[in-house]
Amino acid sequence: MHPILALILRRLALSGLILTMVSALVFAGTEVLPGDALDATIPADELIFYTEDDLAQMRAELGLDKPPVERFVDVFTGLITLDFGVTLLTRDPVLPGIWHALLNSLLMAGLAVVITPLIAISLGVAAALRPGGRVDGLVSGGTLFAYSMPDFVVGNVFIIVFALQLGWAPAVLMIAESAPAWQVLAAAILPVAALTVSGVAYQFRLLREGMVDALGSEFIERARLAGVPEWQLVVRHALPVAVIPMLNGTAQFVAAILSSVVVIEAVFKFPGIGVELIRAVSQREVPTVQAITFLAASAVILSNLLADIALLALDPRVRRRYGR
Amino acid sequence: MAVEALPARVPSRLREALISPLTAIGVTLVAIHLVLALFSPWIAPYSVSAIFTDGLTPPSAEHWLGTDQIGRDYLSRLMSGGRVALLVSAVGAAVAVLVGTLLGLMAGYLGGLIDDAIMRVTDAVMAVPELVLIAILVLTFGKDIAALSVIVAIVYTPGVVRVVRAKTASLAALDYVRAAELRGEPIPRILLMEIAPNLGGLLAVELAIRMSSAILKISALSFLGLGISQPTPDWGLMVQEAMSVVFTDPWFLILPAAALSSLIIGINFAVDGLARAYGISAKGTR
Amino acid sequence: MPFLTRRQLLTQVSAGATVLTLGHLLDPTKALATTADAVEGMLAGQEPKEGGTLTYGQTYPNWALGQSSRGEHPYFWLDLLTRSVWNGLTWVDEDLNVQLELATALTPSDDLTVWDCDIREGVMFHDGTEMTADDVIASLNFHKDAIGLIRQNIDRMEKLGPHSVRFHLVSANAEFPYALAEYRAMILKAHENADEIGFDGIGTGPFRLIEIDNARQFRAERFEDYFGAGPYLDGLVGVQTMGNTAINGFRAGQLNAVWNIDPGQIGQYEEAGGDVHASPAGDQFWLVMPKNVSFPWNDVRVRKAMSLAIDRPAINRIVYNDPEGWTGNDSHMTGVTKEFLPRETERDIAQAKALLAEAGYGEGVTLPAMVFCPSFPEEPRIYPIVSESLAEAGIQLEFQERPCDGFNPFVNAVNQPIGRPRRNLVGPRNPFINLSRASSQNAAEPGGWSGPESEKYDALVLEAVGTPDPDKRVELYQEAQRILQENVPGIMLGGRRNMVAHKPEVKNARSHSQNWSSRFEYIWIDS
Repeated sequence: MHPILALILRRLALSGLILTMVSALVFAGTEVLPGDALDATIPADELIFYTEDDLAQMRAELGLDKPPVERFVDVFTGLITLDFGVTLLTRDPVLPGIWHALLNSLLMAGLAVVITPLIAISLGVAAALRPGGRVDGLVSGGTLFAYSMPDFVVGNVFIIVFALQLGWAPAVLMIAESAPAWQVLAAAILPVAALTVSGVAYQFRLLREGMVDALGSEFIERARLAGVPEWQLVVRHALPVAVIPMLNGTAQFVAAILSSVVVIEAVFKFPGIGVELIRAVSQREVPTVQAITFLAASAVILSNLLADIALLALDPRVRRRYGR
Repeated sequence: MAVEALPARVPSRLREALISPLTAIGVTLVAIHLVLALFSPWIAPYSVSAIFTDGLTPPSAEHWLGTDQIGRDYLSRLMSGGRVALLVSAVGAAVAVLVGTLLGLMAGYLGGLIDDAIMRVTDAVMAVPELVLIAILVLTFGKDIAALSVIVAIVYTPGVVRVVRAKTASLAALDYVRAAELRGEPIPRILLMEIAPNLGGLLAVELAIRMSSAILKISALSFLGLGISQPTPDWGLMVQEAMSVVFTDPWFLILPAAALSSLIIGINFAVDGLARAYGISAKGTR
Repeated sequence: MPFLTRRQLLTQVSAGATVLTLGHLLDPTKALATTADAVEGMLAGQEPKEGGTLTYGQTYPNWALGQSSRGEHPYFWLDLLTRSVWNGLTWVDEDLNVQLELATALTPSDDLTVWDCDIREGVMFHDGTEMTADDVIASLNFHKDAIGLIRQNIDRMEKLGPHSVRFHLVSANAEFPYALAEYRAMILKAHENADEIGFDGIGTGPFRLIEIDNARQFRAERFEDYFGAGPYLDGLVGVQTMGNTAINGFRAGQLNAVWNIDPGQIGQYEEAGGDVHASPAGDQFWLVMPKNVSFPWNDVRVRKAMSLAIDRPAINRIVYNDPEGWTGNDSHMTGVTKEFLPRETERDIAQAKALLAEAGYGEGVTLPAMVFCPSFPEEPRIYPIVSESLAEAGIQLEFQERPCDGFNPFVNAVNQPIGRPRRNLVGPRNPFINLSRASSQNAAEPGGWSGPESEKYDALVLEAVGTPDPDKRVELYQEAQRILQENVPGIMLGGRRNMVAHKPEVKNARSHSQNWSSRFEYIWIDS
C-alpha cells in the first residue's frame, strides 16, 4: 500500500477511535455520573415529585433498567448510526426536531471556518511585511484587544453598530428555520462577522509568531541578501511555513468556533443548533444534548482529519517523517 | 543534579517581565480584580439584592453608579459581578494545571500505552467544544460554585496535559535527565525533581490562559441563562439585561463589558509578559 | 336555577362573560352587539388609506400550545392573534363583552342546553368558496378533539340549514357565546379528511396566509373578498421577537409595531419614534404551589405569610411604573372589574413573621424553587422583587428561568396533574370562569387545594353563576374571593396591562386586555 494512503487510513482509524471515546464520554457525562439519563433529567430536589413506581416505569420505558454496558452499547450504536432516539418530555424523535437548525448552523459555522483563516492570513501578511511597523502594531494591539472581548459583547455591539446605527444588516433575522441556503447565508453575514472576531485574533497571533520566526531564519536571510523582494519572501516562503501551526490547531480552532456559535446564535436569535442546545440543556433533555454534543464533536474530528490531510500535502517534512 | 537547570534564573526573568509596562498593567488589573472578587461583599457599599429605588436612577451621592432596572445599587452589583466567574475559574484552572501536569508528566515521560491512553482521552474531551462540554457538565453536576469549579477543572485539564506532555518529552531527552536515570533514581523522583521544576513558567502561562478562557465561558453561560442566575450579579447576566435599555442608558452595557474585558485583558497582558520571560510561544486558547 | 351540574361547570376553564347580566341570559341575541359595528365604530371619523405592510413583532407567541415543534399544523401557529387569518363565531370586545362575529344570531333554549346559531351568509374563504354550516361543524368537531374547553361545552352539532347550526351542549351554559370567541375556536375550511382540516391554512379572515414557520414567523397578504370592512393593508407579517430583537427590529425599522412590549422599554420605543397603546388589563402571573407533596407551603399559615410578604406595589412601581395599579387578591380575578375584592392588608411583614413562627418556621423557611419562562419580557425583573420581599420575612424562594418553547411540557412532565411549582399565565376573563380556575375541580392551578373550605368555595361559585340578581352575584363572587384570601391556594401578583408599540403612521394598532383578541382589518398606514 502507498505509505501516504496507509497514513491516511491510520488517521481515519484514529478518528474513529476518538469518536468512540467521545460517545463514551457523552454517555458517562450524561448517564453514568448522575446515575442515569433519568437522574440527569430530574435534579435531586425534584425527586419529591416521583414515586419509586413512577421512576421504575419511566426507566423501563426509556430502557434505563438495563445494565450499564448494554445501555452504553445502545447509546453508542444510536449515536454512530445517527439514531438519536426520542425526547424525554414529548417522545418526539430527536433528529427531525433539530435537523433544520443543524443545517443552518453548519452553513454559518462553515462560512466562519473558511473566512476566519483568510482574514487572519491577510492580516498576518500585512503585519509581517514590516514587523514592528505601524500596521503590525495596530493589528497586533487590535487582536489582543479583540481576543479579550467576550463573544456576547462583540455580537451585541455588532448589532448596535452595524444593524441599528449604520443599517448595513438586519436587526431581526426574518428567515424561516427551513429557509433556502442562500437566505440563511444572507442572514448569517453579521453573525458570521461577529463570530470571526475572536477566531481571527487567535489565528493571527499564531500566524504572526510563525511568520516572524520564519522571516528571521537563515534560509530567508540568504534569499533576502540575494535580492528577493520582501513581499515574495513573506508570501512564498514564510507563509507556507507559518500556516502549518495554524493547520495543526484546526481541531482547537473549529471547537472554538462551535463554542462561539452557541453564543452568537443566542445573541442574533439565529435559527440554529446552538439555540436548540440551550433549550435542551435548560429542559434537561438528555437525548437531544447527547445528539448535539456528538454531532459537534464529529464536526471537530472530521475537520481535524481534513486538516491532517492538508498538512500532508503542504508540509514535505511531515510526509517524510510518516512516509518512511 | 544538572547545573544548567532553570530555576535559579527565574526570579530575574520575572522581574524583567514585570518591568514591561504592558505586563505591569496586566498584573495590576488582575490584582484589582482578585481583591474585588475576594472582598467585594465587605467593600461594596450595599447588598447586591436589596432594592432601593423604583427602577433606573442616574448616579447620585448615595448610589455612585445609580441603580439598575430593579432599583438595586449598581456599583455594588458591578463590584461583585465577576466574583463567581473569577473564583470558580481560578480554583478550577488551578486544579486543571495540577492534575494536567501530573498526567502530562506521566504521558510524556513514560510514553507507550500509558501515553496513548491518556492522549486519546484528552483528544476525545478536546473534540467537544468547551462551551458544549460545560453545558453538559452543568446538566450533570449542577451550577453551584463547587460544581462549576469541578466543571472548569474537567474541561481544562486535557489542554494542560497536552502542553506538559510535549515539554516533558523534550526535557526527557536532555542530558541531565539521562544522568538521573543512569544514577537509577526512581521515576517519581525524576518527574518531580528533575523535570517538573523546569515547567514553572509554562505552568504559570497555562494557568493564566485557562483561567481567562474559563472566565469567558462562565460569563457566556450566564449570558445564555444556563449559569449564574438572578439575583446573584454576574457581568454576563448584566450585559444581557443592559441590552434592553442600551440606547438610553448605554453605561449599563459598557460598565460590565469593560469590567469583564479588563480582567481578560489583564490576564492576557500578564500572560504575554510571562511567556516572553520564559520564551514560551504565547498561544492562548479560547 | 339549577341549570348546570357542579362538576361540569367547574371544569370549564376558559372564556365567559364579565358582564353577563340577566338580560343576556333571557335573550342573548338582543343584548349581543355585532363585531361589524365595532369595526365601523373604530373607523368612524377616519379616512383610512389602502396599502403598506404591517410587520409586527410578537414577544408573546403561542406558547400555550406547548412547543414550536408541535406547531406543524398551520393553525397551531406562532401567534395567539388568530383573527388576522381566521374569524370566530363570536368575538370579545375591548370591554370584555361578547359580540357576534361570524354568527348573526345565537339563541339558547329555555334550559340553556341547546343553542341555535345563524351564520353570516356570503362569507368567503381564502380559496374563494363560501363558508357554510358544514365548515362550522367540521371546525368545531376538530377543536372539540384538541381543546378541552370546546369538548366540555359541546356534546354534538346538528346542521339545520346551509347557514344554521344547532349546538347540543354537554350541560346548560349561559356563557356559551364566550367559549366560541376563544383564539383556538376559529372557523377553518372543512376538509374531506377530518384529520387534515386546517393544514391548508385557509380561513375567512382579512389576510390570507402565504408562508409560515411556526417557530418564527408568518407572512400574509390582503384578502380582497373579506366579508367585513377592510382590510386596508396589502400585507401582514408577524415575527417572534424574543428578548431585545423587538426593540432592535422596531428601531431598525424592520418592524412597524410590536405586540406585548416590555413596559421597561416604553421609553426606548418612544425614543425610537413609537406610540404606545396600553389596554386596561392584561395577562397576569399566578404562583402555583403544589400541595400534594410535602412542602412547607402545605401549611396555610406559610401561604398566608407569603402573600403578606410579597411587595406587590413595588412590582407595580418598579416594573410597570404604575404606582396606582391594582394588586392581586390571590384569585384569578382582574382588578379592573367590578366584582374584584381587594385584599384587606396590602403588606405586613410582622404578621407574616408571626404566622411563620406559629407554623414552626421562626428561623425562616426555604421553599422549593419555582420555574417561570419569560413569556412576557419583563418577567425576569418581577421575580427578584418577589424573592427580595419574601426574604424580608425570612422566606427563601428562588425563581428559575426556563425557555418558553416547551415550557408547558416541562412543567407538566412531573407530578401530574399539578406539575412543578411555577408561575402560570392568567388571561382576563369573566368572574365565573376566572374563579372556577381556583376550584379543586381544576387540580393544577390551586395546586391540589382540598378540604371543607375548598368545597364551600366550589358551592359559592356555582351559586353565584346561577343567581339572577346582579348585585347578589357580585356579593357571592366576593364571598368566594374572601375564602381564597383566607386559604391562599395560589398567589396572584397582578397589576399588569398589555401594551402595543407602533409607529405613529400605523393607525388602530391596539392592545386588547385579552391580548389574543386584537383585530387587524381596521389597521391602516398613513403614508
